[in-house]
Amino acid sequence: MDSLGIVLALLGAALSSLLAGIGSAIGVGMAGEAAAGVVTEDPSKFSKVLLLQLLPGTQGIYGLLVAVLTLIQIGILGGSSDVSLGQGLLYLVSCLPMAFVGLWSAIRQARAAVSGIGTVAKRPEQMGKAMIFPAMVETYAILALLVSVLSILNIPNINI
Amino acid sequence: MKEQYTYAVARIRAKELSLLSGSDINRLMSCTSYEECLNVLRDKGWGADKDTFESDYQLFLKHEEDKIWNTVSELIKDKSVFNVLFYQIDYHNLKAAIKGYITNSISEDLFSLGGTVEPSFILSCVKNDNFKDLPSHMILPAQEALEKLLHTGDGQLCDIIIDKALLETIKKAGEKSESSLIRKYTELYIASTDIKIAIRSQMMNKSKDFLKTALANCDTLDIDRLTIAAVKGFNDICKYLETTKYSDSVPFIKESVQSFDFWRDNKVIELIKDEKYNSFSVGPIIAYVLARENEIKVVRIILSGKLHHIDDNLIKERLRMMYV
Repeated sequence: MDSLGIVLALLGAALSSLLAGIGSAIGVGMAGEAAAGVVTEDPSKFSKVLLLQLLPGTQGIYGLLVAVLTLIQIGILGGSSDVSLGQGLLYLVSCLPMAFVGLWSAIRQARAAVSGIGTVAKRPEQMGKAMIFPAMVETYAILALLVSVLSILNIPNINI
Repeated sequence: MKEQYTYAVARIRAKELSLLSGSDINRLMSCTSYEECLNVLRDKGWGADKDTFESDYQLFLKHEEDKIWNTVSELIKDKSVFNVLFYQIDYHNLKAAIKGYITNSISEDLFSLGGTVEPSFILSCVKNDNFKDLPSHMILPAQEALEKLLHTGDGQLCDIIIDKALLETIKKAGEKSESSLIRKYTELYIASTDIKIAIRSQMMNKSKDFLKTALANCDTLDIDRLTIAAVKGFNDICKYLETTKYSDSVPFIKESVQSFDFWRDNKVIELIKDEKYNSFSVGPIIAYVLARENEIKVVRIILSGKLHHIDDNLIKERLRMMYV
């Protein structure tokens, strides 16, 4: 029962990297399929479609950031790992925004990126506009990252 | 997980750049000779290859048709999504095999490639009067058409049996399809074929029984009302159609059957245009195939017209809408 706090905190870190990573893997894979389709017909568009393919990859990085931050805070990466049950639960809850928004936004961003790749295939001069549409989805991943990071950093200040 | 065709659709998007646009058609029309048209098309990548000069436009266009299906074969493993298109070829080949066998006039030119069954196999089934190895939907119409042709010698009766079986098979395939484009295309194909049969039957004063045998059921037309209208007269067909979603076809029908074909081809292009904005289904690939078939049809009209020195205005009247 004493170690349940750290288990819950670790579960939060794992969920954050796991779900956001899965979302990014699906998203980058999906956009990669579309990018490969365009490059098969026109290899000169490689650099343009590559940028669009990479967009859904950021959620995985955010998930990793939240996980590493949690691991540092709970002392797994050095220091004391004395986490109460309440704190452990708070860490778990703090990781959830990044975990779920990361998963879902990466997949939705990939759909927008695939459509953008279609736009670049037909109108390469519209590359900038094609980037903006999937980039808008990034906003929500960043908001979730902010909520998770701010919560994790302030948990030690809470007396629970 | 549902197939999303992400790679295939992206490749099709890139390929759509090479589709002929309205301005390309204008450029072809402004060519002064048939040879100049062929050169313009060759510059756009049409024909076998740069080193082979084809003066026969049928062969030239045949290469383009082959390219469509070669592309589709590279993109899609399960080509059954295109069955609605393939069945049209299968039933055409069945008709050609039965008629050719009975009249002893079998020639390779009668058959089209690209169906779900090899034309030579259909022919061997007809010759051996053994249809059990054909796809199940073809067995009964093949037997019935052969028997009727043998007993009555009526080629038209043979045609309507096979054509109706085709429409019914396409309807079933459309209903089973997960693609909304296929479902809409199927409905348009069946309804427009029914309308055409009704018009032609009316022109030949065919009986109500004939119409009932020939017309296939569809969701957007009341076949009983169409049959009664076709028996009554041409104006009654137009009056009935004005009450349906095909009311915009009436001015074309009044002009000629060819004009109605023109209306139908343009409707297909209107139907597939929405697929330009779809990135995740088989729809854009089907749309590409239909768009390519349409442009080959348009180019055939132009090349044939230029070859036979037909007036440009007459050629222009027959040109269809383009996808891009």
